Amino acid sequence: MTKYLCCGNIMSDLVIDAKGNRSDPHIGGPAFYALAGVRLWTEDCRLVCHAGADYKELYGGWMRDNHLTSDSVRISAEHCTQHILQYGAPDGTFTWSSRYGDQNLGYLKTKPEEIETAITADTVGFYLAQNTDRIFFEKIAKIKEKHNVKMMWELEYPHEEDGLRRVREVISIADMWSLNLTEASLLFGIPREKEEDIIAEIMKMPVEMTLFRVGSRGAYCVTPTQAIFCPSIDIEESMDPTGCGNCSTGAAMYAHLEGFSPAEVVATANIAAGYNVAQYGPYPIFSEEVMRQAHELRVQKTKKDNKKDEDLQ
Amino acid sequence: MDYVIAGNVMIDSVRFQDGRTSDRKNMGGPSVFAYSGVRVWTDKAKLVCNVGEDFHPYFHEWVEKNAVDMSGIKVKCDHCNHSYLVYHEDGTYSQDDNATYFRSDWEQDLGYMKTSPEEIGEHTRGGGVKGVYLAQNVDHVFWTKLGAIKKRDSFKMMWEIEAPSAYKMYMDAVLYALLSVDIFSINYQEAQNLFEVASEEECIQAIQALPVACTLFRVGKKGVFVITPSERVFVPSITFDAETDPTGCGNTSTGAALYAFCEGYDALAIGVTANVASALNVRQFGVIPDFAAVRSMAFEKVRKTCEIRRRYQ
Repeated sequence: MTKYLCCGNIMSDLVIDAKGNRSDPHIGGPAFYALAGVRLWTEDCRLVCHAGADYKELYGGWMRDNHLTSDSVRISAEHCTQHILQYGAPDGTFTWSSRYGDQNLGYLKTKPEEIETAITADTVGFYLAQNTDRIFFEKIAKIKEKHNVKMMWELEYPHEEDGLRRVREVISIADMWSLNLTEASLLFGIPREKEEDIIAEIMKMPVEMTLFRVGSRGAYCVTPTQAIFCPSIDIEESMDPTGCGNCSTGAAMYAHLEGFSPAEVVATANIAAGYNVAQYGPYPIFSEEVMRQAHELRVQKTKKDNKKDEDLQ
Repeated sequence: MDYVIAGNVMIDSVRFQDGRTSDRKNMGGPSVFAYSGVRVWTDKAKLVCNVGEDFHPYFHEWVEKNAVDMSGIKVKCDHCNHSYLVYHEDGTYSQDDNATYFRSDWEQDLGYMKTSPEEIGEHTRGGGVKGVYLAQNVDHVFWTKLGAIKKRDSFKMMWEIEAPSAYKMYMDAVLYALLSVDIFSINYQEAQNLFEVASEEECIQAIQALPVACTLFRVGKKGVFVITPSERVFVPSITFDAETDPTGCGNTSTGAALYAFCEGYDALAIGVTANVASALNVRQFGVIPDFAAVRSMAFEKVRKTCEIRRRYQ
């Protein structure tokens, strides 16, 4: 029985920063970072993915330390995917290559049927980073309807030519959406500098909530009627931004489905990202003490925001 | 069903150095060509593969004409893998870098669409299948799973090695995969890379030392060797009339060799059966269009060719 599912690819990442410094390979991947984003707030979450035979060696310790089950992890290939991430582009983005090949990555993608298998009676939502494949989404729609669960869709790099058409074709199947500034600018054909125009377009999308991530500055929680900005929240010194978008997206799903206000959703997301950025890979152990600190920080942050709103009124 | 032919499907466009191009996009890919190599001889074959929703216009006429059993074909995403092949002067080919692919994650889709051991097992369960064909890499987990299914369902396994796996550094993995293989297929270039030798004779000696009952060693336009631990038989290429497009000849001959092997043919007849199927494949762009129309001619060609060879041996 699991309330939140984090589905999709996991991968080990080797990071080369803008100065050329190379990290050791560390565990990550969209579904895994999203899991960490939820796990900061609740143990009631589960990873749903395919993995390599080296999964236990690579991920087993972290999963055990954080009291999470690997029952929905299918061992389907020899190796977990490993990515080499190269930072240093002027816009803060990174390029990547896959050590065992893109085919291995594709073979290990999570299929709709596998998400359905992991859904239990008390599941309320699942996270998935996914492209715009219509057949895939049609299958997801049937599963959602059958099991009455909600979907957080983190957009995978949009197609350059007809990305917006393809997104529009499937987005109503999702309930929550997440994308970053680069993706949004490319998708809507609006310059990065015109954030307000991008937000206006996001507000038109047929989803309950969008986490619009604007890099190290923070994120917006966008609903059809409002957009609430929350600046980044530092927990410790920033070390590696890899996975912060996935992590904050997982946390935003949790917060939204718990019924939090938009200000609380985006604060929850940014606090999760704050823990994630403090080291290479995920935050190591979400102890009760860490969870309590995060909770207090969210209350404090949200109170501040509420106070500002009151002052403005 | 006697034969299960599994693996990737492609929609091929072909361009030659003399400027000739394929008449249109044609269905292809290892499993489709291998299926045709079996269907020349028998209708008791099933194609087990994953395709895109766009497969219909490319497959419809052929499916109807040949009463292709569709129960093993799953629609998994919007688009089939579209392959744009450029042939070089030496007969080798590569992907056309200038082609426009449907999405930026083409290689990933190739992995997503791969046929898994479990999907093969769905169609061999219960026994009664004589032979299974698959073009596959050397992934240890994949072969462990497929080996267990083979043990459960007792079929003969034909493995056509995928080129990126045919390197000496993977020899241990090749030997592990061969534990689950009865008949093996490899071309000259792959054998040179796998054994790090140059001549055909060296390749043959190395193949003969492999722990497999039979190998189809394809040496391009020259023909094939059928190699067992105790003998080798060379069968030169066979030509019917036109030589239009060699795409898929290796897969087609491999499928036919599986059929001949499972039906108990001797080495000579295996080689001739393989080459007759290949000769039928090269006559047109894409796959053999009408199996019923060529079946009796093909059987007669095998009978006559074997008879002549045996007479002069």
